[in-house]
Amino acid sequence: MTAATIRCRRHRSVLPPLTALAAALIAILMTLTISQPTPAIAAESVATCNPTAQNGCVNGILQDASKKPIAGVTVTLSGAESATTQTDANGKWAFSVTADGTYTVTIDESVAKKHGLGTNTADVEIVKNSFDKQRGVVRFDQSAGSAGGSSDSSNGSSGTSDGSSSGDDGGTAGTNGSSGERGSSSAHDTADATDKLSATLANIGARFWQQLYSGVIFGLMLGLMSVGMNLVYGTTRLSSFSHGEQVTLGGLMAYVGTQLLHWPLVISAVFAVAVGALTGWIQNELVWAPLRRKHVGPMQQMIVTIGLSMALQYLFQFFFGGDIKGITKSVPDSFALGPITTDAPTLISAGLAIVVIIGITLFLYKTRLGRATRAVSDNAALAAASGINVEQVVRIVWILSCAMAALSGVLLGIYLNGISWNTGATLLLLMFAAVTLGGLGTANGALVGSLVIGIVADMSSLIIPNDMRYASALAILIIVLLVRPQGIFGKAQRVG
Amino acid sequence: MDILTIISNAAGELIAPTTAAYVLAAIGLNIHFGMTGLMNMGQAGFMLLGAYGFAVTQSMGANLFASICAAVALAVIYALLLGIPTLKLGPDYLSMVTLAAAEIIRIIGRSTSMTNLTGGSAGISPQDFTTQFENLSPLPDGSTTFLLWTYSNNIANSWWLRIVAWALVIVATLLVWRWFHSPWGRVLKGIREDENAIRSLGKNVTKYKMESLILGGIFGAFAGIIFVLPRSVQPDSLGRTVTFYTWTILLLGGAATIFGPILGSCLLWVLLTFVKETMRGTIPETLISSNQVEALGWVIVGVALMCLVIFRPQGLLGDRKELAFNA
Repeated sequence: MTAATIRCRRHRSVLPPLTALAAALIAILMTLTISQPTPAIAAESVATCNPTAQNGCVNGILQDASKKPIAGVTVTLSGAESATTQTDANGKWAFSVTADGTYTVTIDESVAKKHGLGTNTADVEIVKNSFDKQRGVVRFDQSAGSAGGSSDSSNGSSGTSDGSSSGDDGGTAGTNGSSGERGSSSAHDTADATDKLSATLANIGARFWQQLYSGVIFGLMLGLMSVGMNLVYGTTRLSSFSHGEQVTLGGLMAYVGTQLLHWPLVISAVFAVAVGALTGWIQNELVWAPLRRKHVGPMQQMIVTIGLSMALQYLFQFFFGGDIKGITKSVPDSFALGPITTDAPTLISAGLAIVVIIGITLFLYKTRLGRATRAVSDNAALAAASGINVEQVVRIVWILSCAMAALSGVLLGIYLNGISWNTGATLLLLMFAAVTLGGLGTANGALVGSLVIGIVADMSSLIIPNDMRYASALAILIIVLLVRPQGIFGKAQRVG
Repeated sequence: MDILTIISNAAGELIAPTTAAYVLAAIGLNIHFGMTGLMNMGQAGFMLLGAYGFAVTQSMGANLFASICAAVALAVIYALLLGIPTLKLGPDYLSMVTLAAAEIIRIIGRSTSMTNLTGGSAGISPQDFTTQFENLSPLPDGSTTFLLWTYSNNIANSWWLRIVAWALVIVATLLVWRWFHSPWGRVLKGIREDENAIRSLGKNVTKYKMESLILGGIFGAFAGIIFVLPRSVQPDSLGRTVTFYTWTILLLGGAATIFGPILGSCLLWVLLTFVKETMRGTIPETLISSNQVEALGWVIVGVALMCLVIFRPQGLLGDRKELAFNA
């Protein structure tokens, strides 16, 4: 098994911290298209390398199959920049590089043979400002699948793990929880990866379905968040900037449940939703209800939510640190479903999201309270005049909305294999886009808007560079405002 | 860490170029929000465009004046693009579109496919765009100590940059003072208070709003240039958080006041630095790490913003009657 090439994982992550996957795919495309490595500039060999804004690192430890270091071997770096170095007494070697790009690390073939290493060359991609790609760790020994015959199919053990493992010393290839990647690539994917390389470009059809699928999944989760946000907007005219933090809170509480308190996942999820609902109730009682009583305008309240969002976000960072927290540590087995590769938790999450959204719709249209909610959305003063307790409705909307946000945070955390302090904040704009697109204040509009945004964001990476796909979703927002400012489902009215 | 270092570090923020940059950004926002009532949630977008316009043309070898013109031109075009679709709509729309547009600029700027132009997420390093600005300095080489502070005369985070930045602040403040008391400014205030009343007087409200958006955006672009000169152009350092800081500064000092932005920016940065340095100095690293202190600083800003809006929406200098967030 010469699995020392970068592991190719199917793209399906939807968060900036998790774009490593997609970048890996791009890296493969790059290796296909860039046949001639560009001439070297300035990589240098160093004793130890720490990545900064100016440089990235390619490093590793050269040891034989029995973990004994191999000293004095020449290691050659080529690619965007090139250099050579020798391994030190502990087998360590490191290059500091300045250019982003794909690098190939090579050792002498005879050395590899002599020490029973599986390969003598490995590729890594370095992106200096990407938190998980600024260091590429290469370990030739780990790719020696022949040694035990066991590592060929295990998930995280192949070679370089595209330089994304949290990797301080290079021994951590395979920690997929902390690297925040969707560890979805099964043996199936990895084995197929090399065969599929040449077909990748032609295979845009297969990617099409996969992207559509992940877009729909992402859209559903986004829908869960934005339906709640839209209910709040409908009843109180408040665009809540802190809704993203409610999502993060849900994910982090599930993490607390499963990893710190060692509860089963379901109980942790219920706990997270309960905490979410509780925060919704508390913040309505403590902040928003008094502000409404004081007749503080919605714009002013919006700035309060900005402050709340900042405070909460950094409180999360204070307590949970800046890294990605995995809710579940195990990696689910993925399977193929027609042209799509997926796994059970993803399908269950999507199903749950659909059930909850249907439940909310039924609530809004079939129950007295739901009708009251819609009445308040339409015209709060009129609703109050006809005997509806507006404050009661708003309280319930806040609780519901925050509970749904928490649930979506849990599902998102499972789907993406981790949640970090700013996950919700990165999604906030997409929620706004979804809500505006569907029509401010319309409950169903938010769902349709979310699906559109989710699909556009994921599908656009077929055409434009992957790191620009959120921009495309936001551009949709602006275009819609130009053409149909009330959104898809909004009622046309004079707005200024 | 002794108390003197903390104080001198905190006081250093009083005249830092970044503080001046935030003053300029807040002055721009003051024109948008304080004068006209526009909810611009994307001031960082204007700053980033200004910074890119300046730095990219500088690194291509344009002269200083042309670069500044490029930055201003970008801000004007951006304001037009944003304003035409949204100024006729309600305030929610402008705030969301400005927010989204600022984010789009940042995402595009940091995209790897733009590396040739913007340097991707690594950005543009200072030696590529600060040379001409530093060469313009009439100060001798070396460094100077003035009261508590020692800085280089010309290089990077220099006295020369401080002089230029604060001179810009003074010019901007004078201009805003003139505008506030001009007939044009009175129309803007009228729009802020009651758009329909002004419309019924036969004024073209959308045109006035657009002028306000453009002017404030130009100050944003200048703020962006000053912001990046002592460091490098990094798209992620001019994200949403910068906009939120700017709002905090404006609301702290008092929207619709002349000196509000200056007071707000100086006060916020000095206090924030003081609090953070004190925490670093007194709380042992094992209890709260340096990163956590940074996060706590943010929490303070967030809570301060909430409290300000709830308890004193007019800020320190503002007039409560004048600033009614009516929307």
